[in-house]
Amino acid sequence: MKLPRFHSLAVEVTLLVMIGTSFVLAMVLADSYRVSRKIIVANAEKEARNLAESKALTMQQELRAVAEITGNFALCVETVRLDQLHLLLLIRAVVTGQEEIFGSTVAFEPYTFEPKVRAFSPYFHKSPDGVKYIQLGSDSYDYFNKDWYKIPKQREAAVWSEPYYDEGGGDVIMCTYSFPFYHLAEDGKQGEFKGVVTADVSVNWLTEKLASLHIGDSGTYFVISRQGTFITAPREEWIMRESVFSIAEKMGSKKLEKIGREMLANESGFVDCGDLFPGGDSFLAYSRFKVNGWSLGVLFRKSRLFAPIEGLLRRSALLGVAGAILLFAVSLIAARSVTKPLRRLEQATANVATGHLDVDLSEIQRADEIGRLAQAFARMTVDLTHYIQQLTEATAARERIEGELSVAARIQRSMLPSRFPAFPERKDFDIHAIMEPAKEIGGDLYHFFLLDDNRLCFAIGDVSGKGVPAALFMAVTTFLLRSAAAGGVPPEEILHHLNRQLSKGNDSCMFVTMFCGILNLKTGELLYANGGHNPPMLLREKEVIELGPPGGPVVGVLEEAAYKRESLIMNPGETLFTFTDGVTEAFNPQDELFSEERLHGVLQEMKGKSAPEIIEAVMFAVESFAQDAPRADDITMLAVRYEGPGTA
Amino acid sequence: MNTIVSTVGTVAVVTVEGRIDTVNAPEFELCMLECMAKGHRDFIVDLSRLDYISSAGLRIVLSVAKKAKAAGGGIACCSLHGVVKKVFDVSGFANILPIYESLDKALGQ
Repeated sequence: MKLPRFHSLAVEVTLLVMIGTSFVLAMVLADSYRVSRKIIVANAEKEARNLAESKALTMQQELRAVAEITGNFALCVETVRLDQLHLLLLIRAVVTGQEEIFGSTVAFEPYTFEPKVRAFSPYFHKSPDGVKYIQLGSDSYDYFNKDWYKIPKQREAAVWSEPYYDEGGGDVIMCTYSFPFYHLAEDGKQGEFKGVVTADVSVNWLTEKLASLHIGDSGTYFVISRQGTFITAPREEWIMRESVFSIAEKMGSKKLEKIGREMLANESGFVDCGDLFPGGDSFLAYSRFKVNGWSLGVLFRKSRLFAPIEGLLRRSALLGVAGAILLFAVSLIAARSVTKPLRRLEQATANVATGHLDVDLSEIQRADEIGRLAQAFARMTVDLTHYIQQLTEATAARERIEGELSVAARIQRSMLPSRFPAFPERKDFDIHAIMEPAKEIGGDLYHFFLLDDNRLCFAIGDVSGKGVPAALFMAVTTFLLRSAAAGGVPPEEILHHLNRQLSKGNDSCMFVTMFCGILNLKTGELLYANGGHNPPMLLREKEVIELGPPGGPVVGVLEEAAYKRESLIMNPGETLFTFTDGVTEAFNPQDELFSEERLHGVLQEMKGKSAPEIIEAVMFAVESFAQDAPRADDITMLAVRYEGPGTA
Repeated sequence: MNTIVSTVGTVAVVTVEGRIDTVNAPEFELCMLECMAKGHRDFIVDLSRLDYISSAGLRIVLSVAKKAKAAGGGIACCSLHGVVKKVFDVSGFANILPIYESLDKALGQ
């Protein structure tokens, strides 16, 4: 997770703590809400089931009472042969005596009550004006085809009818309990069907009865018949007109249809019926009437059930938010007081960065990490002050030494002949030399001068090592070389002399390699001696040859060392090229040496060229090769071109 | 440059790898002087893995040789090759110091 940038550590820490705390709080609230709901649902289920079952039980008791009376009555009619008057009195007594019973009749099969009377069914029912009498056996009310008569006859069993509107009878919505009775056979066994005894229960009365059963403010109830028809309903217009299934079809709800089937199939149940019924999201508990297969449902609105915990949740959330705001304020103040020394340190750092090292952090007196940081910071400023002072002194000292060294380097260079052409009046030879020092002051040297009109003396040398010691050694060598060569002795004598002088008390073990030559300008004869120096190259007309290995060791090491005199003849147009190892041992960035092979290659190309041209070409080749690799050693070259005596 | 020091009997064998130039020559000198400080008097410098040696490096060899001699010991070089061998030849060091073809031969002496 990428956090946004904060300008203050205090705000950042506080916000992070707040986010964490709020998250935990929200989780706790959500969990307790969930658990509370579960508990409430469980309790509600228990309560609703109990309620539905107890109401159903009460209703059934009423219905059962009706059924018992009717059954007893039927038994009476079956066994006792009553005349018309007594029958009517009995029926009337049943209706007036029983509160539950709206109306009652005894309906006979044709011609079984009186041989001449086809239909006989005296009916008494309650009305606002008292108990009324109707003879149902009339042309307008053919009771033989009514369900309440027909069904018990067919089934030979007592039956509760579906609720119906009894037009021409009681003229109310009612349900009828019909109990069949039979002729008595000779042996006392049951004979042929003779008629039914009925008792009507008014749906209105049932509804009132239900209404009187207090269900509580969270629930509403309804009753459906065996067919699912609403006997009482959450909506008045549904009563007797709609069934659970017709409503389910209208709503297109498979769920309601399923609930309806379950209500009529199961003894009791509890389902989350959502908002299928009017009144919103609810639970439904139901219980079936064993006596007639009806089912009573109690609806519990969730909003009412959960109202208490929702209030609790709101209250908790409100308290949580208020607490969070308070916590934020307190944390912010605390965090700011913790980070105050940090801000002070930040200021101090800014001051130090601009060079003001005298910062006072004594106000930060703490034992924690910040205190230790402040102490370390204070120590750092003290150390810094100290180091800066030392550095300033050291820099001054180094600048002085560097200044002196550069003067030394200038002096060193001034000891070497550097004016070219060196002998502009001489046409019989030319000599050219160059010394490119490495970064540090070094120890390469060369020298040349005319011994007399006919002899040119020259030398090139390389002192081991670098720096001031090498430069001093080089200066001594140059001085000794000049004095030794001035006497006109042969080259091996010059080296010999130098060696003796330098070997004495040479505790530092420094040495110099040196090639020394004397060229006879009349004859072209070159006498030379080599003390451990790289063999020079001779550029002849058609080839470049390397002179043989040195005739003696490096100069300044062995006092008893001997140097061999050697000679060769230079023909007009030939050039002797001498150099120090700075040329062949120049490195390129890939750590390769320039090498004698490459030098040889360059010189091959420069055969017959003038001395300055040859030196320039080699210098160019070395620099191109080395690219930007730092120069490790001085590069020194000296070239002598002999033109021959005729040109003098 | 890398130096590996091992001891064969009383002889310190110093194997030098890479290059000895003006810059790291003092390092090489320090290594040799440390060996002397530990009491070694006889040295063999194995140059089989050395690619290049400058005149400053030669000076160190010479300087150590002198000190070893003064202490009654000596120094020998072995396994010279390529540029290193050429430097030793040209400078005449091959004649000043005992040189051997291989470490075994140097130890034999």
